[in-house]
Amino acid sequence: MQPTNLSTYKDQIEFLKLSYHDYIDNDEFSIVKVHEWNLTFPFNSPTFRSDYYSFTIVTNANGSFTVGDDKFELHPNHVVLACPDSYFKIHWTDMEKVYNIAFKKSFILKHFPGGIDNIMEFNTKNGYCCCLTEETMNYFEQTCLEMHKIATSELCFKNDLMANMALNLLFLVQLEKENETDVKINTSKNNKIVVDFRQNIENNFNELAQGRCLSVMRIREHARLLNLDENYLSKTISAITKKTVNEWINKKLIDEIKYLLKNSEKSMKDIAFLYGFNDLNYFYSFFKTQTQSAPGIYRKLHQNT
Amino acid sequence: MHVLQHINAINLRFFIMSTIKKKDTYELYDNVRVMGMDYSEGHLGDDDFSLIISKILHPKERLPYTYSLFRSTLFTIGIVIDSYGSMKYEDITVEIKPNMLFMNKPGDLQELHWEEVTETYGLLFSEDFILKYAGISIYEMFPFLLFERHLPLHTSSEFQQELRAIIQLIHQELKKDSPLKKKLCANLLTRILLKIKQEFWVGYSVHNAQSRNPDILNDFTQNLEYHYDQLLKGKVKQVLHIKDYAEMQQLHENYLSTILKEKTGKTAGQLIAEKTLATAKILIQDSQYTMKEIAFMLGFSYTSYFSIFFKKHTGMTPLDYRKQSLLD
Repeated sequence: MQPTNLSTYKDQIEFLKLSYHDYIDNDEFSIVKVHEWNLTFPFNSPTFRSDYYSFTIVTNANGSFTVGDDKFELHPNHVVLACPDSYFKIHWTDMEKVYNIAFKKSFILKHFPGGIDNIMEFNTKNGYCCCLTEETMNYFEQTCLEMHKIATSELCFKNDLMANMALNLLFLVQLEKENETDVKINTSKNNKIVVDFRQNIENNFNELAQGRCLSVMRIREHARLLNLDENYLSKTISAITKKTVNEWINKKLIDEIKYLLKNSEKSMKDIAFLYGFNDLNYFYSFFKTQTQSAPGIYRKLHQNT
Repeated sequence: MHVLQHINAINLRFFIMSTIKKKDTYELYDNVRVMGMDYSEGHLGDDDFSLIISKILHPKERLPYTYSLFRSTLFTIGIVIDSYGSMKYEDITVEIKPNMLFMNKPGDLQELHWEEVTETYGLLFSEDFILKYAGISIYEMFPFLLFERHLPLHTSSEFQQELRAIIQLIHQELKKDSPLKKKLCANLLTRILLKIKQEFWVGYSVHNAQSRNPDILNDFTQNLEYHYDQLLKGKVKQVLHIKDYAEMQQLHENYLSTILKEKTGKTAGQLIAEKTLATAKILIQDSQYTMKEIAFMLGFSYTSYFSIFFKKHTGMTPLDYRKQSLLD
């Protein structure tokens, strides 16, 4: 099964063979009532790759999202944010009410730039899922309905308003995340270098997955792309994100490899070459140092379960 | 200079000018505390963004009430749902009645008088606040705040309800202490401004403002905002002086200064310095520029001049400011 690259939400809807509404005239943002699609259950989507964020408000439904290496179980009163540039698979067992907001980073930058750091904060993982209280879910649902109304209206500045409301919900999700993990939110990480650097990693991996690029970019290439000195880039990234440049790259690399091991029939050799390993032994030892298990064992373990 | 302006506006607003020392009054919030615990619930927030719930500040026994003439240092939005009173500007007095919306920009001279307060809210915010936490430039997104005079706008009660719902969210947020408080407040404030823009200023642009309202202050603000916007985008390199701004309007620089002083209480030099400082803050937070580059962009021939200028106005060196904004 070959994962497909989908860039726009329309593509995804066509790909899933669903009908879409006229008001999704915007490639950068959309809000839909998923329950109005009349899906047949159980519903399983094929695997695809998207370059937009998918923010799903599960008022009442059961299912699961597989995003990269993570699997999120979805039950009533859950919300889940799936980050772009990862392999993505959807499963629903039943559904009564589900809202989905899909948006690109460029949309946020254009309409509410102050939220971009918060969005990027989610990118440290493939996605984030949490359970809300009844009351909070109520607020989320009301906001979704209001956004849906704005989306289908002819109002001026409706994109600005929808970006504003979507971010409001995302801020609340981020607060939940903080409560849960006890990690301090870095509110003013207004750093162009970090944002650009992480975007370049994502771009690089997208190209790798499509076979348009043959090697994983390392610090030298990243520094050159940003017009910065290697040492300066490395220092800045470590100081601000508390993770080194290599940690960022390796984490993403391992994540992608794990996904292919688990969910595809690709041979080790193909996977290794896809990510620019010229030597299969090096690929094995790299995987083992990063994950403490050999790729073959990892594949067996996860394909059995 | 900065501190003094703050104190002026705040003290006049609360009538406690003589009782407090300079140091204590720097934070707006402290002032309300001086008014007594009963009133602190009526003014929530800080120097950059705050919400006034007039009903709490003005209980029946404190009415009628007149604030002495003051110049606001912040942008103000007054949402009058149900109250009566009057607002006096330099040249005009307007009656305050239910379903009205007032908007003032920094520097507007005003005198507020309340007869009866049932439900009224005030939002005070600085340009910095909305730029820092929402990433939105007032000049680009909400130019009507800068260039239009907002004698009361009459609103439908449905529209007031919409605004009230957002105000309630802001109120809840201000009472909590979450790490994203400022971002959420900036988000909700932007939503209010968007709704107002949607309701009253569809199709408005800076260009048709000028022809409708020829005004020396307006033109100056517009030239200043436009120039610094271009500087930020790197489209122009040189910095303009009072003389250049005067020439744009075919005025003498002394005359321009006098008019500005009369209308805003600040000299042209001060206004330009404030704008320079605000621009400097934005550039410093963006770590792609070195201090030398920033100093040069803003027209300082030596980095040390820039440092001295910055420190004089903020009490912090540019480098410390950058470090702090990175660590914050």
